[in-house]
Amino acid sequence: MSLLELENASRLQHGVWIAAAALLAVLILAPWWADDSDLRSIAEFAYLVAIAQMWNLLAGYGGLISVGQQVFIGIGGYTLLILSLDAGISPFLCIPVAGVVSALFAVPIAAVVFRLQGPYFAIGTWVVADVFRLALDNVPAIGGGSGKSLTSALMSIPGWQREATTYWIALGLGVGLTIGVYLILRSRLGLAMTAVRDSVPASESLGVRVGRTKLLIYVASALGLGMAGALIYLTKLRVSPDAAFSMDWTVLMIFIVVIGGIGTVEGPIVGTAVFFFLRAMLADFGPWYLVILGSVAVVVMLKARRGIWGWVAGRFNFHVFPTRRRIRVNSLRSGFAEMPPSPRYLTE
Amino acid sequence: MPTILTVEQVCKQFGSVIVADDINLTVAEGEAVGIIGPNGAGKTTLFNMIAGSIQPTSGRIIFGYRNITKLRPPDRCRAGIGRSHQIPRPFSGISVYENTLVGATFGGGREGVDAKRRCIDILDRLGLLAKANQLAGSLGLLDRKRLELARALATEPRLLLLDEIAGGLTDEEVHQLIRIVTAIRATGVAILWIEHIVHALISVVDRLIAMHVGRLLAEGAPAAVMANAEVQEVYLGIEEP
Repeated sequence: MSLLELENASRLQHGVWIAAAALLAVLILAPWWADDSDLRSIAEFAYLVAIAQMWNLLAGYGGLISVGQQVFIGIGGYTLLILSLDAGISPFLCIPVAGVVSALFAVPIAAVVFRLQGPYFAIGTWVVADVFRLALDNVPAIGGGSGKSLTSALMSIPGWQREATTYWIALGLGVGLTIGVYLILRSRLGLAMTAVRDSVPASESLGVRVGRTKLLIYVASALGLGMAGALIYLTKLRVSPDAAFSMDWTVLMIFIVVIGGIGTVEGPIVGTAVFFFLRAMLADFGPWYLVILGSVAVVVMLKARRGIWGWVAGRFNFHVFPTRRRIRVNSLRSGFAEMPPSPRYLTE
Repeated sequence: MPTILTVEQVCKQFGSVIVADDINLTVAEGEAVGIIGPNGAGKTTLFNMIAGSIQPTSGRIIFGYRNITKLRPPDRCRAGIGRSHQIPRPFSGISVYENTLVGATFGGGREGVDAKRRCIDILDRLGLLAKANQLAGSLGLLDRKRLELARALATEPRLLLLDEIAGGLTDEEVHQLIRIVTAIRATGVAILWIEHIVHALISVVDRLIAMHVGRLLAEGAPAAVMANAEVQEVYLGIEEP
């Protein structure tokens, strides 16, 4: 790649950032210009980006293919339910707390599922999520199988304030978790994660503590999903085990990430946009909607295995969130052949 | 020279199969030791036990003054044991430079510009600098082997375990590799090197160990070991007249 192309790419990148910042400013002001249904759509977009980022972090960068991440959405939802209804804590304040509770649950869950590898790990995570669902079915104090409504906890908050705050939190989670994933990837932990994803034995012999790395990603993902889970049920107003611990949540995360581009920070945003577009286009087609959604996923998996953004990034070498660490090499030397004996190395 | 590695009465059994049978060996600081032996002699198993990826059934492994028998592989790497795998295992989704950076960051404990400089220096030495920003998955076999070595060096080992790094290379490439290993040696790193290409091994090492069915068959000066009748029989397939 020539220097000129590099400059163009970075100019385009800055352009995209400025546009994104402007869009964000407009979105922050949305409660003053949008109606309730628009606000809810944007909030849904934001929280889907958030949960997809969490699955992408785990699978796309950590190589941990879980189909049971709904467990943390459910834990988040139920933390909101119990703390806001029974303990009388402000529902908005419950959201960060739900993240922490979810992260705390992730530690013992990890101790169980990390004993399993590959497909067994995937099935193990699913089983754990179902164990939670079935257990909560049998706790009548929090509604048992039919769940419980949150309305009474929210009644004291004026309507506009409730809608706007919920919206801002959703937006904050979508943007915050995207930036969070990006920062993790640029950090030491990010380097360790990608190493572990690509080869466990090689990581170990290069000094990477594999178990601890996996645990950190798993807990980070649970933290984000717990907050998102609480927020989601704040918008849905009713928590039940079948909905909160439904595998549909993870299916949605996987669909979005696979379509958008697994292992890229941009992927979940692109995937969510595609999902929204398809859902709007296919709203009148009834059950065909899911058939077409599934077919799109299959086609992308076969034809563009790295997803839409993966294809774009590969084709145009363009990244909004560049996570690769690059070095500038001034004089490109190559091969053993031209290599002079280097006294620098010998005397080191 | 003080001893850097001591393998003491190490045995390893998989079920009823004995793959290491009472192995004793020492490596001095800065020493280069070669290991030869037919396939299945237990050479790689021995490396796995020194690097920590498998636990011996009995016996002790001492590195410096420390008993490392119970240590996990990452901690052995941090203690100063570097390893290049027989089958290269690059992190294929990240660049050559990032691959090396993993070693420098976690094994070598370096950060920021310091780690970067170290990686550039090593990649330069191994002729990989021009490919530094390429994905490691796009490399050919020779470059994968170089990368394997580059990453191990980035962890700044005091003992380097090389597992058949010359296999599959042309004569000229083997010569270049010998120059590199000699240069590494000159920095004071002790080397334990498994290799089938005996002339490559002999041109670098001080001492040679021959293994057969999990046992040490012979040990000593390279010429003496290669002349040993038993070694010739099992390794070179020469029958006694």
